[in-house]
Amino acid sequence: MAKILGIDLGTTNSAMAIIEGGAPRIIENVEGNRTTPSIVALSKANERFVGTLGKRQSITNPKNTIFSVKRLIGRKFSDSVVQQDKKWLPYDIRQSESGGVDIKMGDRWYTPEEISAMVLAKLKADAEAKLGEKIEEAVITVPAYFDDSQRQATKNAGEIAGLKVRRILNEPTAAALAYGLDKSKNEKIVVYDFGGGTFDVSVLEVGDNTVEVKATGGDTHLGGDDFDKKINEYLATEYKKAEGMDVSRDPLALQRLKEAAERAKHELSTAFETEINIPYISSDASGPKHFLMKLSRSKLEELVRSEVDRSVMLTEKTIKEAGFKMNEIDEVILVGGQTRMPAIQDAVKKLFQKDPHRGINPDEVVAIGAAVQAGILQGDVKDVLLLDVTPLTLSIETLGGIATPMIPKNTTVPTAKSQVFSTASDNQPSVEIHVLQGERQMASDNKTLARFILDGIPPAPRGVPQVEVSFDIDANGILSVSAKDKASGKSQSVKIEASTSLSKEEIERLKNEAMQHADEDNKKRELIEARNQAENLVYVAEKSLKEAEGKISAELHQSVTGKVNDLKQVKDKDDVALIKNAIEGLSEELQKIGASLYNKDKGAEGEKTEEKKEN
Amino acid sequence: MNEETPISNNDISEVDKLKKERQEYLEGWQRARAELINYKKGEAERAETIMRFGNERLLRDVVTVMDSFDLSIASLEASGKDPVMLRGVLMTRTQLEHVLKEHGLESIKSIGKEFNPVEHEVLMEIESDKSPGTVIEEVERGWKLYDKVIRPARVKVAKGK
Repeated sequence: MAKILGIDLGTTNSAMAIIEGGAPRIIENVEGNRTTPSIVALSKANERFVGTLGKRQSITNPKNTIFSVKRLIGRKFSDSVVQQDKKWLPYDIRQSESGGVDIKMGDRWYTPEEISAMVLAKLKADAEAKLGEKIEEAVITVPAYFDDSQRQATKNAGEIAGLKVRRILNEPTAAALAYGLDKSKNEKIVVYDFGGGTFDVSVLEVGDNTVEVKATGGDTHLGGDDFDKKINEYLATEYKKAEGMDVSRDPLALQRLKEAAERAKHELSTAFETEINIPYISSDASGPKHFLMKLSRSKLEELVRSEVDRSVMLTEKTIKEAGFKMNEIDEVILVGGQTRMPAIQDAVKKLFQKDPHRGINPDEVVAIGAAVQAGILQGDVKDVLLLDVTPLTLSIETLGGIATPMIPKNTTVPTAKSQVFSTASDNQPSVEIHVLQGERQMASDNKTLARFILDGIPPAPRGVPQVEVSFDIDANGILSVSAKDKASGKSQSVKIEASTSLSKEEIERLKNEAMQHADEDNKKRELIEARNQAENLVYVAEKSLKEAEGKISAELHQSVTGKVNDLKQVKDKDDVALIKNAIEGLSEELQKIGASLYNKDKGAEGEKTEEKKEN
Repeated sequence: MNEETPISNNDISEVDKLKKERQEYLEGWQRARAELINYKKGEAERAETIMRFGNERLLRDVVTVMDSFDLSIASLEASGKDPVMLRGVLMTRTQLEHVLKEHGLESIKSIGKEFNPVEHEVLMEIESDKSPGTVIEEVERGWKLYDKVIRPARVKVAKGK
């Protein structure tokens, strides 16, 4: 089945995503980047470049490098926005015959739709190359404030690029979809989108299967690029103060400064201070000059304070226009790379008194949401099987009352698992299978699902019998547990119907309990495991002593016996370290028996074979 | 012999229904199997990409250190004061270049070539007797990690007359 591509067609950058195996995934372009600059250029050699490649030749070819076309698409030439932008856009635009905008690139005039179509066509081609299949349909996002004409023009751009546009989706709605907030009913959502070049804020209300845009606001000329500019200017001024040199005329120095500033900005999202270190930034008669300066997070915040404040002010204004109060807002979503800045996150949190959603990469969340919408339209393969998961871990009780997990929580069913267990004492005739559910380490803290006994195990030393325990959960959540003694072939089993039918609250309660008791449980488990190990070792040691009687020196016999007694004395105490010490002591001593026998005696092997036959 | 029970219409529709259902289940199962196999293939590819490009971010940063080496060498060469020091720094740079090459990183040759945005980014145009569009000067070296350009060469290009 052909896939539908989700496209975030941005002012500065675009991104695309697709549903794969039920989950959205960003698709990289052929250059290997997750976002593509929304730039189209006709080079001096008359070659057309889209995306990063267009950007790389833009400085010397500004007249034929078309960017920010999203600011023009679907607008009348007489529109005040177009008239404003005309002043600073380096390429030529004119009024088209129909009153729209024409853009000059090379010798030809193009409509904004045609330029956008070139960006979309690149995305389409790159997605096809990456996925190895044809893409014919798409969901494309637009700002919530786009009018019919702008939406239609965007749709046309898609069609020109050879894509059937299944849906024009609002960007804030896409963000809400990405976070799965479309299902929560009667919620008011604010989407705070601080991109590279534009700042958008939208207020949404989720109803029954609808997402309604209640108000939109923002500033189409406020973005992260302004932050970069401020940092650059500050660094250049500081350098001039310190060294008396103007770096703004040296393209290399400027380039390195720009890169260092951007890196510093990113670093200050996690660190409180960073060092900007640019050796050999320039030189004069006295020799080379270096740039070394510390930049703190608070200094950065001071530099961009007015921009952040402005975004907060615009957000408040938009919410007022929607007719809501601050405390009525249920959810806040952060979109756009600049929202990684802690100062912005704090400002938004302070404004709404709640933590904003920001788990998904803010540069990609809109494209992800577009893919989610595409997945809904695509109506993924009819699900014959709705696969459930086991909400809690299923275990059996083993020596010392430990819950030994068989099927961990969140395992997708149907599933099966089997493991071989043995007996704890010599000639043990039966084993009890105690089936448990829960996350705690000790059996007694978990819920008992079933208990049954497998008997008729032929007499054998501890640890020798092999009892295979199998857990099997079918697609309906019915758990079958069986135990089989491999020697006698005897088996027992039990069916438990309700292994997955716990209420949501109960599951949460059990998980929380497990988390609270994790430390204490771990200690308990460690102690019991040490005791089990101690008991096992005492058993082995006593058996070895008996077998080696007369074959080893009395001295060695005595020292091993001494160590056995040491361990016996401490093994039931609550001090894990003490037990472990004694275990180590005995283990070392015990090895001497083996070493001593190895040199003297090789007859013991016959005995062992015989023992095996018994099983 | 028993008398044959006549087959009712109900039975036929039941059989059809079951056949259809069986087909649906079979297809669902095949799809699930196929999806798993495809996922495994995809996963192998992703693991391969991570192996090759996992340290891309680190290498991008290391490249800026290489810039400083280039500049310090240029500065020492220009001053001509300390040939021993120059030789040491040159050798250190070669050593670093060698290490980077081992990890798949190589610098892009740009001077004298025709400007190509796949590998170059133009910073300015300058007067030159070379044909227009030829890269005249490299301001910053460009780098490739295997086939992927992780930083284009920042260049000055000959201006058309």
